[in-house]
Amino acid sequence: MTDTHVSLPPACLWDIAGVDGLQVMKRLVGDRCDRIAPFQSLEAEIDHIPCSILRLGEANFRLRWTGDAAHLQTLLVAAASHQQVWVKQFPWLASVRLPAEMSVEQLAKIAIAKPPFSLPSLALNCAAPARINSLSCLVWRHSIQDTETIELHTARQTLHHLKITS
Amino acid sequence: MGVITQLDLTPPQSLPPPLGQVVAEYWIEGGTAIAYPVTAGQYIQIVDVKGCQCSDLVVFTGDRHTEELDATVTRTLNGLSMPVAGLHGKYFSQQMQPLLEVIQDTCNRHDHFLLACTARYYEDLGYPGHPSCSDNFNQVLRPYGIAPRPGWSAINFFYNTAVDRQGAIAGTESWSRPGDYVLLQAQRDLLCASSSCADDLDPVNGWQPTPILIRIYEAQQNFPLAIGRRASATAPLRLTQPSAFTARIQQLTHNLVEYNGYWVPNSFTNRGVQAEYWALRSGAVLIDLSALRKFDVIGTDAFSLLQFSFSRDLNRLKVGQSAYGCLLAPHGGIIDDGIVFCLSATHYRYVGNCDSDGEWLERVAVQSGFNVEIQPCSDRLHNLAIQGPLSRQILRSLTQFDLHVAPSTIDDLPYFHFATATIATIPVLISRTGYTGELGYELFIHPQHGAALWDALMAAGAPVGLQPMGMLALDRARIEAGLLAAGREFDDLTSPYQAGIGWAVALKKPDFIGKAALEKIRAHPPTVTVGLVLDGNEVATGGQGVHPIAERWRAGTITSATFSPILNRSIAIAQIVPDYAELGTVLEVGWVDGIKRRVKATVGSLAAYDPTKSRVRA
Repeated sequence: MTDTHVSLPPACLWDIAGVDGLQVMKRLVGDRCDRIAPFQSLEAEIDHIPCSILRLGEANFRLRWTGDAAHLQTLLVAAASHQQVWVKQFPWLASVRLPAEMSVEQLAKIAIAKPPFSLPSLALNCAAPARINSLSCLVWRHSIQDTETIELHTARQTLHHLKITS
Repeated sequence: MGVITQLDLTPPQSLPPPLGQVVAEYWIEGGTAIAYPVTAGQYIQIVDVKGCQCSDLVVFTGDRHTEELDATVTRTLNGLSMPVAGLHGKYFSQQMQPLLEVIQDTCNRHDHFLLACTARYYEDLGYPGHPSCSDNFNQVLRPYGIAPRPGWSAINFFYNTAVDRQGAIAGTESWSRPGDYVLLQAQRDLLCASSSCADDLDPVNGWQPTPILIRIYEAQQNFPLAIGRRASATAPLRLTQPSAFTARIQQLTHNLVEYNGYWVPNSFTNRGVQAEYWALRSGAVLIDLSALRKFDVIGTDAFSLLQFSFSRDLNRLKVGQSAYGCLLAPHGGIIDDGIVFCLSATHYRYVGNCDSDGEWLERVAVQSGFNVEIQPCSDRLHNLAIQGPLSRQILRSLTQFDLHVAPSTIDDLPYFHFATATIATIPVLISRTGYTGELGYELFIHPQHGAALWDALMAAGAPVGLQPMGMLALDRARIEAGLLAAGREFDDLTSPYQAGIGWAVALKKPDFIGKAALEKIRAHPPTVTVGLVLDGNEVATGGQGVHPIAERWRAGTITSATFSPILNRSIAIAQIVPDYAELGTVLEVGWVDGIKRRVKATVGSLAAYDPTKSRVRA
């Protein structure tokens, strides 16, 4: 079997959280951030660079950024000025993209979502905490530059257990 | 199998009937315990035969019974002090694997903190050698190679304990009545041990241990999830029910919770509270509000009864009109809030929140000699609210009003008016009322038409983005609109003047229940209800103190709070003393222990959103 999952560069995930997390994200991408619920996402542009924004709580967001990290850091620092938030990149968090031919229905055969989430019915721009055997992962179905993608976020130390094969 | 006691007694007549095909029954005499196996999928019913009797349960699985139920893991994973039937209904092992799921519970009061009673407990009370559940478990578990313990961590069913604000855990008389039960489903092959608690030294078992009955049902049975509640001392047990719309809702979400005896959605899969909220404010939503209770008040004195019991003056209420108000206690407290509909001079309908409202109206009628009949009609009238600025547009093409009633189209139906009609040929009563602060309608139908009405509305509303809405978004909307919730803004110790609905009290009526008390309260209400707009983005919670600036002492309490998406502000409803209730007054909301951190808040109108009610009247 060929290991076909694509490991995404870890540096492209940024987490933003704090009392003013929603307001910081509104500054960055506008009011659309409060049109999505926790475990939903949207595609946006920050400074004309496309990115994906996943809401994880009322004031917690995860940003997938494909541009220059230093540039984003500058933008985040500006947006977070005088706001009670932190911005972090977690060294222990890994992200992998499932093969394009793998559907969410196929993933649902091996992954169990935490109720009330349900993987077979996971819509585009939605995410769900799930387990593949004992491996914890966040399943995120969204678009990366107009390409529908299923992305898994998991602990880096368990990444080698994740063998997605076609 | 010597440790298993098969029931060989003739069951007393008071035993509740089995819920299904019984595969095993075990009778546990008062103050004893048994061990018994259960296979994955089977159901365990633990019946408190005579009432007021605790039954402790320990559970094992795996090779040599090394994996066992863990109360701390269970509390942590559920985020609840104990599992309840529904989304957070599983008991877990120390390996975080589910062992049991609560399917039904008719008592709803159990202990999950303390050990099964121990020899030490009785020794400390001066009764060395007293039998204990832990010792009884040791005895029945020994044949399975399970080592004894001085005290067993157990699920103590029917054991009524509570933790007070100082952290003290108190145990007292059980809530359970004869025949109350818990129905559990095994998630794995299990070895269980159940007791009839041996404690006869205090009220927890009514000073006298009595038997517990265990029934095992086959895995192929299908028992619905349900929580049993009683509305009053004499009311029958009522299990959680689906509404006329639940079947459709379950196709759209698994996130259902029990609310007032019905399964209702919290939010919808792939939509979520924000999308549902914005659909309400900018489009239209459907909300299942069937959990409201309806009572027809029929007879020559129907008007007189309601005029005497209800806070509003119904004299001017014409047929086809409705009025919001409350049922009052003699001391002026709010028994319930609701809406009275005038169907004819001798036929009114009260729509409120409580099954006990009917009993109260009945009692008032008897005591006052009113010639009236109170007919509960909640079971034959379920209701779906369609709310939002586009709700009228959606209904316009679907609605055909009965020829003999006043409005000819939905556009002619004023606020707080209702009429009979058909929607997609389904007979409905359309009421222009709601609980969202938006233009909207409530549609009352016979439950048999629930699915058809849902489908018709969703199809008609699809082009303009009609969405279902759950309770989480509804709560956010009603707080913005300054609408009260029972148990939050009022209870039977809160007067309408404190709850912010003093306008709904017709003190000019010659006589009504609570009038004398309310005349006094009106002059000097101890608190009044206001809206608060908080500085910053943190959302308060009910119970947080509201303080004058820099003062240690409180001037009020938060009753409800949310983050208002449309205002982009943290808002709250609070009850505060009148001296600090003037618009624009700046106060502080106490965070943490009330002292450590304060957030400034400004007194505003009760409704932060559309305080002039222009949208509901549009």
